Amino acid sequence: MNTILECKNLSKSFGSTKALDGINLTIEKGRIVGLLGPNGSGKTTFIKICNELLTPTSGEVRINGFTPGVETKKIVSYLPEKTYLNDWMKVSQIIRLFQDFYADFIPEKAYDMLKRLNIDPNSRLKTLSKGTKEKVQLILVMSRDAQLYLLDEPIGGVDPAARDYILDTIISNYNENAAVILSTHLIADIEKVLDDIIFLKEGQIVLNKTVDEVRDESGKSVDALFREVFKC
Amino acid sequence: MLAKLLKYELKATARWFMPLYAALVLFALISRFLLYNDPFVKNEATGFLQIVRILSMSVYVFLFVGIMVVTFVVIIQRFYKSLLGDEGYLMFTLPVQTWKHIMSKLLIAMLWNLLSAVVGLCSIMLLIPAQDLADFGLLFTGINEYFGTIGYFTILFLMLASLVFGIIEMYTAIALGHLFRKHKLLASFGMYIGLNTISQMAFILIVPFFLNTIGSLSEPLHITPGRLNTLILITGIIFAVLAAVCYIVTNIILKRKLNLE
Repeated sequence: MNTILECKNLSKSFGSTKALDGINLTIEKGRIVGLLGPNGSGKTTFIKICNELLTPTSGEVRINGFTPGVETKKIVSYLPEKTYLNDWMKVSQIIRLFQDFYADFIPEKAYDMLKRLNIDPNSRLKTLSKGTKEKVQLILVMSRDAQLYLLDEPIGGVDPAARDYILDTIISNYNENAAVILSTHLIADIEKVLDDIIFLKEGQIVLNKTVDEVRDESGKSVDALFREVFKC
Repeated sequence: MLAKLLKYELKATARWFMPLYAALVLFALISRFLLYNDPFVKNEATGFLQIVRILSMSVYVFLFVGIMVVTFVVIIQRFYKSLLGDEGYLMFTLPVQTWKHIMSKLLIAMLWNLLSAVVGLCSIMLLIPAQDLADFGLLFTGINEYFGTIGYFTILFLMLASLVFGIIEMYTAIALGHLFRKHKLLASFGMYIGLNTISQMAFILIVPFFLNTIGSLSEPLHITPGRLNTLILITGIIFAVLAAVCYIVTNIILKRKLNLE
C-alpha cells in the first residue's frame, strides 16, 4: 500500500472542450512529482478534481483509497493558483483558522516561516501585496504535516530569492510518507527538486518518467526535453 | 466542525452589523433626546434645533434602511462569495461536509435577520412617546382575542419557517445559477423567479384544499381561533417543506455538481 494517488480513465469536459482526456496515473508516497505542460494542458483541472472543486465527467481519482471528500481533505494540502484569502483577516487569524480545521497543521512552523520571509503576523491580508499573499498561502499549505501536497504554480508569482527559499522548504519538508505534486511551466527552476515528471498535453499524458530516466535516455535536461516535446 | 464554521461565519459578518446596530441605537437616542428634552426651549435658537432634529432623524432613517439592505445583501454575498467565489477554494478544501457549510451560512443569516428586526423594533420604541408605548399592548390583546394563547406559537412558527425558506430559496437560486456555464448571475436571478413561482403555485394548490376542510367556502366563513391557527400552521408547514426541498437541492448541487472556475 504505497500508492497515495491513483487515477483511472479520468476525463473532464467543459462544454465541447476536453480539458482532461483519459488520464491513468499512479503516484507513490515519498516522490516529488512535476506536473508539466503548457498553459491550458489540464494541470489545474487535474489538481482541482483531486480537491473536489471540480466534478469529473468520467473516470475516478482515489487518494489513499478514497474518492475526493472529507477523508481526503484531511490529508491533502492544496495550494490553488488563485488567492483564496479573504481580505478582512489578519495573518495570525488565518493561521488560527487552519489550526482549527486541520489536525495536522503546525502553527510553530508557520510562524517560523513568516519570520524568515519577513511577514508580520499582525498585518491584515488586505494590506499585503499579491506576491506576499502568495507567500502566506504557501506557508499555510507547507505548515501542514499532510500526506499529499498539491501545489498549483507554487513559484509563479514570487521573486527569485523567495523562490529558492520555497523550493528549499519543499525539499526540507520531505518525508517518505508524503508525496508532492507541483504544477508549473518554470521548469528550469524546479528541475533540481523533482523525482518524477509528467508531461501533459491537451489533456493527455505524453510522458511519465523519472528525472533520471529522462537524463539517461535522452541525455537532455527536463527543460530541454520540454522545449522539444512542446515545440510550437 | 459546524461550531467552528459558525464561529468564523459570525466573525466574518459581525463586523458589518455591530457598528450599524450601535449607530442606529445611538441616533435613536439622540433623536429621542432632541424630541422630548428641548435643551434650547428657552433660547432663541429653535430654528437651529429644528435643523439638528431633522438631521438626526434623517441619519436614523438612513441607518434603518441601511440595516435592511445590508441584511439582505449579506445573505447573498456570504453564500455567493465565500462558497462559489475565490474563497470557495479555501472553504471547500476544509475537511468539512458540504451540508455543514450551507447550515452555517443559513443559521448565521437567520441570526442577523432576527437581530436586525429586534434592534430595529427597539429603536422605534425608543422614539415613541412613553404614553404611546402602551399601544403595543393592543397587539398582544389582539393576538389573544383572534388566535388564543396558542397563536403565539403558530405565528412564531410561521415567521421562522418563512424566514428559513426566504433565505434558503436564495441559496438554491444561486446554486442552480452556478450550474450554467455563462451568465451565472443572470441565471441565478431567473432561477429565483422560477422558484418563487413554483412556491406560490404550491400555496395556491394546497391552501384552498384546507380552507374547504376547516370551513365550507359556500357558506360565510366563521372565523374561530382554531381555524385561524390551523391555517397558519398549514402555511408554516408548506414553507418548512419547501425549505427542506431547497436545502436538499442546494446540497446535492454543491456536493455533486460543484465546478469552481
